[in-house]
Amino acid sequence: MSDLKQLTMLQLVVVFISSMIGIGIILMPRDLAKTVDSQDLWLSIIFGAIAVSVVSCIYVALAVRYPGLTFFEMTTTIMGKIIGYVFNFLFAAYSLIVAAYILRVTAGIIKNYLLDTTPLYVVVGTFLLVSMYLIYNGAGDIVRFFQLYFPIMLVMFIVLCLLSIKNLDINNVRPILQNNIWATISGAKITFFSFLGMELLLIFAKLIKKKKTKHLLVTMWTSIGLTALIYVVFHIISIGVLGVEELKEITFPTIEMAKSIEFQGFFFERFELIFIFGWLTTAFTSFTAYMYALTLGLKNMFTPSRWFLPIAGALIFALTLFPEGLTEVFHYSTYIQLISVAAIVVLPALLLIVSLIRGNTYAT
Amino acid sequence: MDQTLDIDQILREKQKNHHVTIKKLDLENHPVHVIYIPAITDTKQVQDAILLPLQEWNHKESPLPHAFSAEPLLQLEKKNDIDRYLLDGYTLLFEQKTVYAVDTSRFAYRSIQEPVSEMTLRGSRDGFIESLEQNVALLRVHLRTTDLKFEEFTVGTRSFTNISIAYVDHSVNEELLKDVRARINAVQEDYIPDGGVMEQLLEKNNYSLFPEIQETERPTKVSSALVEGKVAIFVEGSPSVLLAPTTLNSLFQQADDYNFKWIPASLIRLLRFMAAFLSVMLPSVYISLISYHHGLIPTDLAISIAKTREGVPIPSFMEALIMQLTIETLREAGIRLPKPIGPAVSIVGAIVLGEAAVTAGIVSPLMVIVVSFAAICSFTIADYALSLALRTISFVMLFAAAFLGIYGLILAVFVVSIHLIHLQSFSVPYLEPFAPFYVKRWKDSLIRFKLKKGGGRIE
Repeated sequence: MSDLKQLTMLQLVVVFISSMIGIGIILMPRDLAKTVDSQDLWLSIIFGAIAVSVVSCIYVALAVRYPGLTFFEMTTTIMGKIIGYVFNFLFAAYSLIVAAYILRVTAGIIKNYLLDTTPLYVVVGTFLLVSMYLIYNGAGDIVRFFQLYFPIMLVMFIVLCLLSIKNLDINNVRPILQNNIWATISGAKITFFSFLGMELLLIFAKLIKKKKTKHLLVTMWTSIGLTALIYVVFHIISIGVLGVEELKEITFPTIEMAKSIEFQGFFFERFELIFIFGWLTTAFTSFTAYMYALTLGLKNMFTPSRWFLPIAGALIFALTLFPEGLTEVFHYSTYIQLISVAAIVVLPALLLIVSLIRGNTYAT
Repeated sequence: MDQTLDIDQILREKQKNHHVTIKKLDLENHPVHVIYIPAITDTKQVQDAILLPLQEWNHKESPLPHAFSAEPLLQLEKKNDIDRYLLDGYTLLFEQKTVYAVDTSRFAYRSIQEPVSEMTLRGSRDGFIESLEQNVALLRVHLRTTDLKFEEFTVGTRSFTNISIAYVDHSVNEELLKDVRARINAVQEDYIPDGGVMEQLLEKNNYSLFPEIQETERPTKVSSALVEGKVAIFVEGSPSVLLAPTTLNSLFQQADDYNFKWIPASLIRLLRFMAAFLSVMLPSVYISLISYHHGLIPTDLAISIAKTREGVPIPSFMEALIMQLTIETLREAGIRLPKPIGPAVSIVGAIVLGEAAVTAGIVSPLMVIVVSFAAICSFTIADYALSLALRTISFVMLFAAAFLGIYGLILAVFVVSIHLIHLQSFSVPYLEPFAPFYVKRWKDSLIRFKLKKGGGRIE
């Protein structure tokens, strides 16, 4: 297994953006349109980003106080063995649920747009196997994979945005701030979850080169800022192309937007393929990040750690095939959000508070 | 084995072999045996430089080495050495209990020619031959620095093969050198027939399709690689010199890239990457589009594709597979055939397999276009080992596309890139300037940035 000894700041930004942008970019427009119900909905993303930036300070504080440790090692150091074990279990369960959720939605979209007659377990299983192969090669390779695909993904999104400009109706976006500002702010409770992925700082923390608070904060905020920028651009274009009313009705608005691009006289008249490739990459990267967190958690909790990767795969596989259809999956999403808040806000906050009270830091 | 030399026994042993000549000189009751293998020895040199001086030599006045002023004389101490030097074309002198060796070798070699497998438009046309000594001389023509260092190795337990590694001091990484030495010393094979065998014995990832070591017959390629800090491995009897470490990027580079102005050279290089990508992906993308995602093809095109596929009795996946296999067969036949019959293959291929198969309605004309274009693309890959790897992958892609369409293709691309990210050639990541990401090294990767003037060397 080849492993990177240390991550540079740029690599860390790439890892965070790749983990954050995932299924959110497909699902968020509809949820937002339903909640906010105005063309201001992209402002909610900025509020969400601000909220996430505040939360990320907890992670930075933990990462600086306990350099070289992952979340799963911090818990036992801070809370003692038993409570630490409970914390680890909760975090691993959270990673499992999020990974399964990402995979289920991804597979649903693949089935919907590309392979309508292929059985779900085939789509899920192949995706899972490829991801397991990457995780088997170690954290260093995961980071390099993210790095390799990051520019490709970025170029595809930029191409898609540029191509969509033709279809954009600026009147759909205007006027700004006509609506109730509180509705817009309350949209942040949806957008907050599309920034899930920054908590992986607690997982990748042990690979980080510069452990100064300043550097880490800059990295976190840069990645959150860039992700927010990508989201905002996408939402403005989605609203501009489809309009708020339509956004509420369509299940996967972003793909529909890509579908509406038409360029006569070019070999491919339809561009959703480009989008699906770019997006599948991001879904793959965020799924892999969570599955890596899960395997790391299992490795920490159970002693015979040789089988942790297949076990993680089997767990995700089972959980992914559990819901009947996508509607049922979306039905669970409220619970998933609750669990997420517990795992990524409450647990780290508790850790930080106890750590501050006890005043123990990891000796460097 | 007894390490002390038993001259009589060695002589008796050698006398049994008819290819070994043993001359016994009785120099005033002081016998000296001269032993050599005529087939690999310059007999005139033996006559002039050994036998003549020996006749004039007086054993009472001076020791034997003094008789030879022109030729360096080696004293041998082990029985193994005796065999080795004899087989290397040396002439051995047995004087009582001591053995001396003089280099008189003259092996049969072809003359220096342009390498057949690596064509360039501009630049030097010399190519390596089977002689280690000549190859070193050729390298010295292109690289004149005292920093150029050589180290000698012998491998093979049954037949000795001389191996020599070359590197430029101060450019080369010490760790790399250690690794190369260790790997060569670890080789435990009876017989190394050629450079390609040595290459596989030195590689670590035996299950990878991609070559970990680059092979070249061009001295200029070796010299520029050495300046970059690589290590070259010369194998006696093989015109291909091995370069380590290798990255995917360096396999795509050609000497011509540096001989032309940088903008067209960069464009050509980009074209080469594109062509390699297409050669792997084009047939599989085509079959996934027509068998899974008709909706993604523009309507007019979809209709004309459907028309051309009318009456084709086999599914498009099988059609693509058969055509790909046919092209591979043609290619293999083209390599093995003697030169005068070579063109016959292309005629048979073009007329029978292209024209007639379409007319007979077995394959659709569009499939012929797609598969042959992919084949042309694959011809742009100069490195044969890489081309083999990519051709194998293109078959895997076909299967992925047949089972899961575009989704399967994307996953297959992921798998290949995960493998490439993991692969290392002598501890250097295979995808070096791309992952890990070194922007500074991009100047000579997808594009070739202009040469630095004023003493800078190309990194």
